[in-house]
Amino acid sequence: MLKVENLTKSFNGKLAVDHISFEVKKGEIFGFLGPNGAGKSTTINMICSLLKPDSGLIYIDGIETSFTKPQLRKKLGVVPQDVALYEEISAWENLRFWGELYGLKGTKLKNRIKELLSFFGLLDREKDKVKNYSGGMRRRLNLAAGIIHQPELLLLDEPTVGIDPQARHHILESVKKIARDGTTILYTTHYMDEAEDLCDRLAIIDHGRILASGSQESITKIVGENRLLKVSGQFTPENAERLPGEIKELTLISLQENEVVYSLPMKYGTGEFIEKLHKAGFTIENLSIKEPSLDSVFIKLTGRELRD
Amino acid sequence: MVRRFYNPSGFILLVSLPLIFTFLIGSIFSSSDKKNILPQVNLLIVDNDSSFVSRLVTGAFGQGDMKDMFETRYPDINTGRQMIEEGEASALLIIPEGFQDSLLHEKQTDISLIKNPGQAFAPKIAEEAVKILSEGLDKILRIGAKPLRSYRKLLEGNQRPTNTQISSMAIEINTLFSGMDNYIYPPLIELKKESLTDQQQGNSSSQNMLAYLLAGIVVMFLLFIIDSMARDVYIEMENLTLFRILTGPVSVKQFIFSKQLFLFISGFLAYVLVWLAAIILFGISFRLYQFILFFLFSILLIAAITGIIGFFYTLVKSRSQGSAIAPVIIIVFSATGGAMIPLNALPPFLKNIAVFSPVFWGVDGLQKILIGQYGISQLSQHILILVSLTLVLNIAAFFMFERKFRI
Repeated sequence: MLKVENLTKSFNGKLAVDHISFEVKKGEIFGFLGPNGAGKSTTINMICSLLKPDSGLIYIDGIETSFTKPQLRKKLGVVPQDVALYEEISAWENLRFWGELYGLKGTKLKNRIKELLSFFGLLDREKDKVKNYSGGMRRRLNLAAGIIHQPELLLLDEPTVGIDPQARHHILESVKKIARDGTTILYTTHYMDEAEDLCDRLAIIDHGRILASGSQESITKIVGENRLLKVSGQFTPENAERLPGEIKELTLISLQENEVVYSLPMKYGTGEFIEKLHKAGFTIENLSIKEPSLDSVFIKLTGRELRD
Repeated sequence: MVRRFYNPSGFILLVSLPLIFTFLIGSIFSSSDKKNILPQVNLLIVDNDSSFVSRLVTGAFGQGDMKDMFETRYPDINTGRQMIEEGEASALLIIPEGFQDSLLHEKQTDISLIKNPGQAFAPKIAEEAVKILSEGLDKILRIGAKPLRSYRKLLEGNQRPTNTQISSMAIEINTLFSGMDNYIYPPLIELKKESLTDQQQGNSSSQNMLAYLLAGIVVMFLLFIIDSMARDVYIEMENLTLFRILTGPVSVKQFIFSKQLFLFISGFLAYVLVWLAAIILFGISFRLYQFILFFLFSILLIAAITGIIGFFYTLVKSRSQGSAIAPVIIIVFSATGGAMIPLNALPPFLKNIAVFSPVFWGVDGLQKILIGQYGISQLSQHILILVSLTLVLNIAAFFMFERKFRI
């Protein structure tokens, strides 16, 4: 449904998106997982023609897109990261505007508006002005406006940022429903749990480059059958670097002041590891053990946690 | 437009303001028994002669048109001077003692006029009126010198005048006026008071004065109205709805064109509302040809203003920048273009630069049409300039906005 080849974009000489390529299959939810500033929104903006790529190609449903083909964008639905609605008019009027923009009219539009307002739990507030809505309600309406025309491909740019857990849950359930109805979804997020919960396949992106992509299972295998052991406390760098030589298959992932991360196959227990830490003169303030997950993949690939 | 419909307060205010302004000004110029629309000149008179001739002079200010122009008071000299110093009057006319006597003896005499230095206009009117009276009296005295000499002798003589002397004087006076008959009656030059609007339209002069004034005020407020609508582009950028629209099946060109059309339609609606209200409230009317010309010229004017404002907003970086600068530009254009103050009331140097204000061409053209004495040929220059502004600025705004929205 969506194919991106060697997409590149720079701003003031700084590379924001660095030759990324990926493909989103029809009907799947494809996740774009990465921290803020990784290049997720820039990629989305290029796909929906708000930004012109410096190089690379984008294909939607097999057709190469460019700035001169606005009609192609009828297949596309976009839910931007920031709520983009007209606050001085009601939810109904907003959806009517966005629906008409995509060519819907008459009874079909009216029914579709009712359906969406009901689906997102906004029917009883349909005539209220959007400026009187809560943050969660605005997010839901924001999503409704993006799918009013039943797009074949939906681009969701961090749709749950800044809302409470209940509203977030509602949005995620809505996304699953939309996908079940046949819409292909490209979903960007910096929340690991969302990616794990929603996505069929995903790509991990950081500093404009895709570090890993595929199914969750295949990505998790990057860390193999290894746990990640994160130690916070007092130690010398020399001792931290020497430790892998003393424990079989222990690998140093990252070393910072007062924090070190190791990788250890799951077949080994952590008892020996802790003992070796004491012998090496470590003063342990905190020890966290991460089972193989996307988080541990991210740490292995970037040396830091996603929330950093 | 739907958003404006749900929140029309700003639009209504901007549409009603020109009507309020015009109503206020129209109340001053409205059709009534008032013959004089200017305030009366406050004139103090000190008659130190108290003679027949001096009373002729002072009495003239209470007759005919002068009665409407002047409000006269008769203080003593010291009070009069004090009132001038305190700004309570515009001028003080002093007729000296022996005024009549000097005139009858054909000796030169002076009357004094002390003007209030704190006023510019009213004292000047008083000065001109006194000049005219003085010159008139002087001419009469020169023409009637001979009978006046006879009269003086009679006055100075201690004896009662005989019938022969009175008859002789009456004949002299009659001969004098008979001789002057051919020269003074009927008057060869008669002042005929007329206004151009009365002559051509048959409307009351006050209604067309209102329309004449309204033209300038409407153009100025049209600029403000379209300015407030033009900020919508930046509002959409701030709210991100612009970018959302551009992710849809709408090209940048379509979006920009729709915004320009929105400006034009908003301006047109406001314009129509104002003139409709003016026609209903003030009774302004048009002849058919005049109306067609007025309508077409107005369309052109609104299109030109759309271009001016649209182009301006391509030059600013944000809504707040536009909001800060646009009113200044509008007021400067309006003031120099004759929209705020009639052009003929402006000082000469401002009149010279008026042609560089696009507002001038719109206001002047509208006013000429409203007077009803001008056709297309007399407005050709106005039309040419407005057409040029419309095409150049709207096209420039279109392409500059297109460049702005492409990242």
